[in-house]
Amino acid sequence: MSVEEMNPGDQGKGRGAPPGYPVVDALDARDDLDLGAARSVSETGDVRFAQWVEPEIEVLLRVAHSLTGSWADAEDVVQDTLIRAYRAIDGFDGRHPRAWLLTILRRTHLNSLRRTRPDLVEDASLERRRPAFGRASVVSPEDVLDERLLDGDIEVALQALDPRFRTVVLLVDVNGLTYAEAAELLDVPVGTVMSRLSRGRTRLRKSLRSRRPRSRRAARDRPGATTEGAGHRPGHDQEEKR
Amino acid sequence: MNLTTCWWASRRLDRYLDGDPSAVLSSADVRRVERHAATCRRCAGDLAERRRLREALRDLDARRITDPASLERLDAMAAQLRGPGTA
Repeated sequence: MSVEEMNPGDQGKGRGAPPGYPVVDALDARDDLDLGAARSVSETGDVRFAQWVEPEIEVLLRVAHSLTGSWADAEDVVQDTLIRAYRAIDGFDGRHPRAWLLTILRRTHLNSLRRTRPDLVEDASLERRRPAFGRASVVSPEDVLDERLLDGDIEVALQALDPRFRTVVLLVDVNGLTYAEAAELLDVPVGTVMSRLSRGRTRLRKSLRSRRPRSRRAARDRPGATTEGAGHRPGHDQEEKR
Repeated sequence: MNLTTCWWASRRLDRYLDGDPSAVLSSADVRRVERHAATCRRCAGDLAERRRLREALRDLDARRITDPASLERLDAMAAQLRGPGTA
């Protein structure tokens, strides 16, 4: 089935997608993406494209940057996404345009990766390990992040994350996508997005705590410093051990 | 301090802060999280830390300025696709 043949009844069947979210399975390896080949869209389609797609261009660019890590690559991916979206606009019913565009963006990005970095396309599920209740380390109140998180520290901590966690944190916490939009983009269930987000955030917090100024740590660690609460919340930091 | 409530609340703090439509906490759960955070120093600190991280990450997006030239090229391309005079 081509994109143009897709009808609204085909929507909402995506893995992890809430009802009404689009499925764009037909947007696979079609690489004849030139502007001339796209000119078979109705005038209504032109209006819809301006109304539904163009306002999302900046979001698409930011999301593509989160996926590719490069503004130049992001622009390439968004260009191809726009062409594919334009071709498909007559078959799109206008519900959840951002989710629809993110699906196209994901397919476009995957096609691009298949051509250039096939080794990166595989996304095996992460091993799930949960610690036994009560075995997690205890974090004292002094361990919380400093009031002012330094930009550089955050960037470094983000870069140190496992790419699967980093991507979800970037999409949800930096780009502001919903869980469902991120799930749609990554073609994973919403539960997977939530799990990766939780792990990514936990690791970020842990990493940023360890970058606190030495003076605060020294004050905490000196003899007589409070150890109040040690062992008080056995399950509280379970995520820390994941 | 109720350890069971700490454990229960800690597993809902992200959802409490996110308020994402896919994983909304019930109003009863929201009240329980808030009541607990009001009386538990550790969970209050945990919540504050998560909130600061979220704010810092959102700030990161604001600081990651997209290249205006790149946006202009993409806007121009979109206009070329749909043809002039449609917007």
